[in-house]
Amino acid sequence: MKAEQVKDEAALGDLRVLDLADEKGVYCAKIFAGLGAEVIKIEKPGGDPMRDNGPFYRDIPHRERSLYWWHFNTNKKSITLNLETADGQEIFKRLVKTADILVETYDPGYLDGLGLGYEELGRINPGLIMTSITHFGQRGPYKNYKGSDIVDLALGGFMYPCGHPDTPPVMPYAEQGYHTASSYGAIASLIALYNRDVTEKGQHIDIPIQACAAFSLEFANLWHIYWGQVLPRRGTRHGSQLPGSNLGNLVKAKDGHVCVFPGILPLDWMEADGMVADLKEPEWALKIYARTTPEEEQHVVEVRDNWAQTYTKAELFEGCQNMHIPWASVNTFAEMCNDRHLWEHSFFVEIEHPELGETLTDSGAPCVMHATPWNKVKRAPLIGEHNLEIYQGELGFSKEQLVLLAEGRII
Amino acid sequence: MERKYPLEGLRVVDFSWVLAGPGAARMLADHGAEVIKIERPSGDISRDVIPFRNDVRGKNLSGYYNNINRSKYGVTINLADPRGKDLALRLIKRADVVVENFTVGVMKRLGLDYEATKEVKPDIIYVSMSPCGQTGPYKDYISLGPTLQAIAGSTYMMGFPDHEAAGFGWSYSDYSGGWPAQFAILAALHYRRRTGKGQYVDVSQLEANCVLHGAGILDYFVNKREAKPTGNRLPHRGAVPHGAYRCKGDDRWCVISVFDEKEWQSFCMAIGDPAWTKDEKFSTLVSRTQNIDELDRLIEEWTIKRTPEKVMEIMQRAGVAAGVVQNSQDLIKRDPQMKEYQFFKEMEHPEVGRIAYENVPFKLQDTPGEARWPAPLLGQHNEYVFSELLGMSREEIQKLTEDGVIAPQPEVGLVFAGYKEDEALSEKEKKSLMSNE
Repeated sequence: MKAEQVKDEAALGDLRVLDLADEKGVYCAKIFAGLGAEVIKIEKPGGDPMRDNGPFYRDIPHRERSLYWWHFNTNKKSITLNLETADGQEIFKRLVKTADILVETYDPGYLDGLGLGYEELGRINPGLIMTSITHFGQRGPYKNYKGSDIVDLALGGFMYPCGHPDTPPVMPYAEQGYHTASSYGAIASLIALYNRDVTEKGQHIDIPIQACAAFSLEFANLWHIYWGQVLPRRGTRHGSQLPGSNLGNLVKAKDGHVCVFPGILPLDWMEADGMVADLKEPEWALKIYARTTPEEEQHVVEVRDNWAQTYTKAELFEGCQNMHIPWASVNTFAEMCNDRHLWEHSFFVEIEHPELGETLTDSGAPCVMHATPWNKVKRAPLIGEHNLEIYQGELGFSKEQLVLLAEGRII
Repeated sequence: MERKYPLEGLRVVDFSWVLAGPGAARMLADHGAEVIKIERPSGDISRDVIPFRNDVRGKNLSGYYNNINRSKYGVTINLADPRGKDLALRLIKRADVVVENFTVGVMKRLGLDYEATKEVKPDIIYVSMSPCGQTGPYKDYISLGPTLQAIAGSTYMMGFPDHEAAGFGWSYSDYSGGWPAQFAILAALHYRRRTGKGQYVDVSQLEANCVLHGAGILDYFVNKREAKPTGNRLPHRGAVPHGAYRCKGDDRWCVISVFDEKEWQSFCMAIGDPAWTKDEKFSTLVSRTQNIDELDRLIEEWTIKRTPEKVMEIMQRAGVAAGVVQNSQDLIKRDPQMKEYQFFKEMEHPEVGRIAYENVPFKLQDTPGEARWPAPLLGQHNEYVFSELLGMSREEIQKLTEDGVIAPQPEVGLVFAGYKEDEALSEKEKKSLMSNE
């Protein structure tokens, strides 16, 4: 990247990232963009298929109105390029020469088939870090299996312990398999970058989504490794079996639930309300945090729930936390979007959409870096928005050549 | 000269405890960084967390601690003692990165906050991790995984409509809360190489988790539509069917996901093209969506007769994305991809014996990381760190040990006594659960 293009306060401001990823890795490149790298999203001519993912702005389906696209492609540039043509492959290789990181999610072997595998790209640019995110990895018996986020999570052991004994296993919200692998994609790439900063050599990185899911299970695998047991589905009850967790983690409030973990009770507060019953007696103090019989458990739960239901979630959340007791509101999605702490942190940011004449609100930075603040959020690009800048401005194609390339469905 | 690990030469001083911080530091350690874990003399409280092999408890026997803290060096320091604080500063002077997750204000009180460490190491990269960040109305709030997930909205969103929320059965938010720490540290290191400048990084696990809600937040503010739990159905993608289906066997399930017309045709063929698939109730995406409950029931009538492995095999052969809902036994004993990538790596722990660890889930092809050695015994590397690294004399080390500044205290009671029927937590122990002061 040219010296004068490097942004002073951007941690990755000297880097160029080429983003070929679909849903499996689109979040990975968003992280690089947030850290200040120049990220170029490479779309098929006519636009990337992710632009057909809903929801849509005002529920009007349109390739320039996908909220999915807008969320995952903030701060990126867009060029259109057909990698299945000789012209396209040549242009791509020229771009690879200038790139530091390439993120891709194609089926194993696809890029090799186009002459664009790591062997070739690494030869063109030995410093290239090529990050490949796939459902199951580049090798092995499942490498050609069809995957999806739910399939990857299921095979990764992630779904089995989620849900209740009387329900099927349940998946998390918003494709956490893809989010997990994308996050590890960013971490792995930056680990390779550290190595490259010392050796000047890039490398290929193999990221299986299934393995990333299996790695994020805390107790599930350990229960089997150490005990030969399978962690069962028990709602929000936690695999750690911390004292009091036998009482269950969700407590009904007036307007929903609070989560209590571990099962510490605000006995003083309950007493002040005259609703602590016998729970402050010494023998109960013992039992609340140790193994209780089902009858004892029922008693504690009854007293606790009777008291809790006289308050709202917010009252219980704030009141208990002020006493250093770890109770928390089970926020609905709307409540999280209106959370005063998130707003005070400027977690939600305004993103300008000049084409709409509006600014839209979305989540912003995942953390605060004091010397290299998270990139100010700029809207996702239009289809091929940066074709002229890259093809004409940088690669030197003439206007006539660009017209021919477009007519040839190459860009 | 060939480097074996990509992060060789990187030194991290890690004050953090339990999962979020140590998990982040683990990734660096597995890739070759020298991670020095500073524990109070009685050890990280996670040394008391299950599982224990044969239920035999001990400070060096926790499977939880062992898995999270492998590949690290462990020392014990009483940070409340001024001499202990000095030791920590001496280590930081030789380090690149500091990680901590104490309650807001604790490091400052100990004289080990960013300002203090910048004095001895101006270009230090200092990462504070906490449930809700260093500032704001919730900054002093206490939260572990399940409560954090509740505040973030993740618990509510995970479950079946009209059923109590399920949430995760573990602290997923401690993993996702650690990812920004990891990429921020690495990005800060790259920036420092270029500019010579270190920095302070403030990681709020709450925000780290709320960035993972996909397009839901935009949908709320733009379309005024509030996301609701949908069980295993995937909204906004035209994916029908998409769910978990009961199979033959005890609590055995397979997930099936169909995203387009071609996959739907393949799915129909795979289940033998039964007449109902041609019925106008199911033959189009629109009609399938309208009759989705009945669709799922009909599919389950087919899957219930077959093992999940058979369902997956039939579907995959037909080109439909389907997968067994594997439990950890399936994953560890049977899964061929886990075997291919040696995901479960066995190592010899001096007290636990030979046991498996969850290996790094991705592979840098030329300089891969891996679980390198078992987690440290309490104070195991005091000798190496104080004598070799800091060059302290035998006499100095002995004095500090005698005075309790660096002596490990394995006999100090296990905090989580709840396992035994006749033991309970004292008030002090309950408070201690929540902080590492």
